[in-house]
Amino acid sequence: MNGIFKRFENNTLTLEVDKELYQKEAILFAAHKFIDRCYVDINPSSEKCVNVSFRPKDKNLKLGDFALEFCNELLDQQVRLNIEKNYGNIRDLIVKQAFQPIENIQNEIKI
Amino acid sequence: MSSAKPYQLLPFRFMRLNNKVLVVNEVGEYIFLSGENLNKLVNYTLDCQHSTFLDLKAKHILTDTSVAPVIDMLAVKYRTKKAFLYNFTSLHMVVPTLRCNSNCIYCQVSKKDPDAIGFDMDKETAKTTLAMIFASPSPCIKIEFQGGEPLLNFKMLKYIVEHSQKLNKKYKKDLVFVVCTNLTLVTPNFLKFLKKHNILISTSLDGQCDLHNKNRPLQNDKLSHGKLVANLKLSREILGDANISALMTTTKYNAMYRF
Repeated sequence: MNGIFKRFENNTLTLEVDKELYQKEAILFAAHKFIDRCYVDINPSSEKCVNVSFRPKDKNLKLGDFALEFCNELLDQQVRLNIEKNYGNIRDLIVKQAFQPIENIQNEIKI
Repeated sequence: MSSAKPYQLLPFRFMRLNNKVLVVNEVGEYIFLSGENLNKLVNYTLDCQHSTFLDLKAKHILTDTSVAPVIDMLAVKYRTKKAFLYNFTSLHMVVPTLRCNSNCIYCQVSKKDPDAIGFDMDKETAKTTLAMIFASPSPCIKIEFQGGEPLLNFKMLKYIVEHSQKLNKKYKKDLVFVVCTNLTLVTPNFLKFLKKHNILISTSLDGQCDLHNKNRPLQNDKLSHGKLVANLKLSREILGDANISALMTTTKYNAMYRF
């Protein structure tokens, strides 16, 4: 958590996310999960990083909990993208094979 | 399969629910894992002798054998699951009226009072609806009358049945009608119409008298069970047992009754 925490001011918590570790989609999907409870802002902070800022809609909500939850959500989202990247080809082959059988399926598997 | 990995993952989705993780694959097979086991799964550190591993293998979320036969197997399951795509839409719900004489405690419909004005389907809407229904490429068409209580607009129900049969002389589909009704308003004439046109009845019977009346009272707190039972008997006499089905909706009150 310490590595990702950037600042806390004006009731807004800002986290800095390394784009080399997490894809843009993972950051957007993870941040989107919080929009019912926070105002969320995403901005590039450097070539390598983006800032994700959370301002709670309800002042009684604890921002520290959001930060922890966001870190876990970010990991889940990146894992989903990795599964899709690595095994999405198999899903496409299942659908193709179901409706238009493939002659040599072994040649089509890219894993 | 890469020699570095003891097993191969297959495409799946996951979602955290309370303290578990729901893992689902393309054909709808699912398993609940602990967070720790999800972590092991995606990091290829699951013990291949462990029951979790064997469950995941049986549900085709991973494999430790060649991938191609697994794709074949999943494709068959996927084709079965999506078989409805071959026939397009066959079941069509038609609401001749939003008016209803029931006041069921679990009703989710925007029902209106039995004497409300402006909530009945008109002929033009019915014609347009039927044109759309018969445009379906499906060789089988089932028209299910729902409501409101469809019998409160029997005139429109009758029109739709007769107009559909007229249209079907051209389209030649396997055409089936079902009326979903609380049965409290049926008359011998209505039942004779159903018999003539081979129309099925789907009704609701929530249990014993007290329970049914609690769940499905009529408007103005009148009770429905007595009428339902009498009319169910009449319907069975005229239409035959096989043409009527009664479903039960379970509520918290069911738990209070012992049969």
